[in-house]
Amino acid sequence: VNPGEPYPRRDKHRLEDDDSKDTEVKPVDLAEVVSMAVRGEPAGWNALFDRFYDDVYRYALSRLGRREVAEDITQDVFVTAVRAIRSLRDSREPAVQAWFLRICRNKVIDYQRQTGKLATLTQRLERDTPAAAGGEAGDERAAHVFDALQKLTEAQRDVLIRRFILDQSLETVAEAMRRNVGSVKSLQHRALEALHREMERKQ
Amino acid sequence: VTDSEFDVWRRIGAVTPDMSVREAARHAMLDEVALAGSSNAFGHHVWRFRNSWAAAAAMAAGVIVVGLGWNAPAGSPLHGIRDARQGITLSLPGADLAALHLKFAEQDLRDASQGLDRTASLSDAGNELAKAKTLLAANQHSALWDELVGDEQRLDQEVNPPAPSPAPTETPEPAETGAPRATEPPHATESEHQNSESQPANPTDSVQPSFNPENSTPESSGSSTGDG
Repeated sequence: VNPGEPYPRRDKHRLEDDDSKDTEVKPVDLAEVVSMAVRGEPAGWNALFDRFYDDVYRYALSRLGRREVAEDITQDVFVTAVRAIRSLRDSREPAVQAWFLRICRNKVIDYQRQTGKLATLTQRLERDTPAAAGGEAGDERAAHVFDALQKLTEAQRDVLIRRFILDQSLETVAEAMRRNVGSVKSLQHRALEALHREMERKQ
Repeated sequence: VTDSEFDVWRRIGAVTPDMSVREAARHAMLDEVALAGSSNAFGHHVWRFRNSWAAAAAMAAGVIVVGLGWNAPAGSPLHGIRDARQGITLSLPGADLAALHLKFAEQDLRDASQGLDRTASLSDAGNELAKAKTLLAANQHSALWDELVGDEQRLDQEVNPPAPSPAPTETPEPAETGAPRATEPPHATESEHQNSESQPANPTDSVQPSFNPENSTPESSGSSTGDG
């Protein structure tokens, strides 16, 4: 990935796309997929896994910055989802994704509570994301962002991850966070300002 | 936040998960699905076990209620079960309706004689006998007709029981009317009543000696003879 290029959106995974690929689930089928999962059918769970695994993993990784931990937490999210699937009331795409990410967020918070202060960012970036971060300079820059992210509120972190990691539209974020679009814009603006202040303070 | 810092963060968040890790997570999830399914199946078996016990208890209770109501006398709370049983019996193909109505009437008469809600039992018996009589009206020479007559007499006795016999110290008064005597056997039939009214068994008991034509002399036969 060239550092200067805008990161490609992952719209090809979206259920709304007509030119869907093999792993995609059409909109009309998501409710059935959820119903199958509720009935305990592996096919339904495989479909949910294929659709939402990457989102959950990226959410966890962008929150924690550690690949191994993100992988463990992502696996734990889907195991927990099996037990909690009956609490899923809305089978529309944004609601299902928000439900998985909510479980993931709770897992991340639990993890952070258990481990206390995270290990030094430099160590984890060296171990987990050397290639993606683009070397030592990239590691340091990313470390600053991760440290600054810890100072934000949950809602601010959520909106940044959804908008800039999961590449969700304002409308999708608004629906997932149960806010209106204007509120999401405002929240995103405040989150970026807060992140900027924290980054400046670190420097 | 500079673009480069933000891009680095975004790239970190976009790292593709390792496929082996991904499949391991899938297997863990499917194991949990299987575990949840088996626990649900166990719960289902428990539910079925409990449900079977509940069904057995309900069935036993039903059998007991039906058993209690099988011959419940008229007027009792469970008499509906007996009515239903009798209705089913009557609706069976090839059933001898007259015989069945007589049988039901006799059962009601037995209940009444045992003092089991006499009023309702006798009412039921009367209804059953009326139905039997309607069915047997065309064939009054059959054995069932005789049985019907006997049952009607029993019903009449139950409805109008004979007067209690007088105390032995009292002198029986001669009957001045055609009413049956107190010493008459309790199973006397209605026809016997009629016979006793029209033709007394012992003429000496009659209170109308003037019926003897030999005693009816012109002197004693009418007061007009003396008047003349």
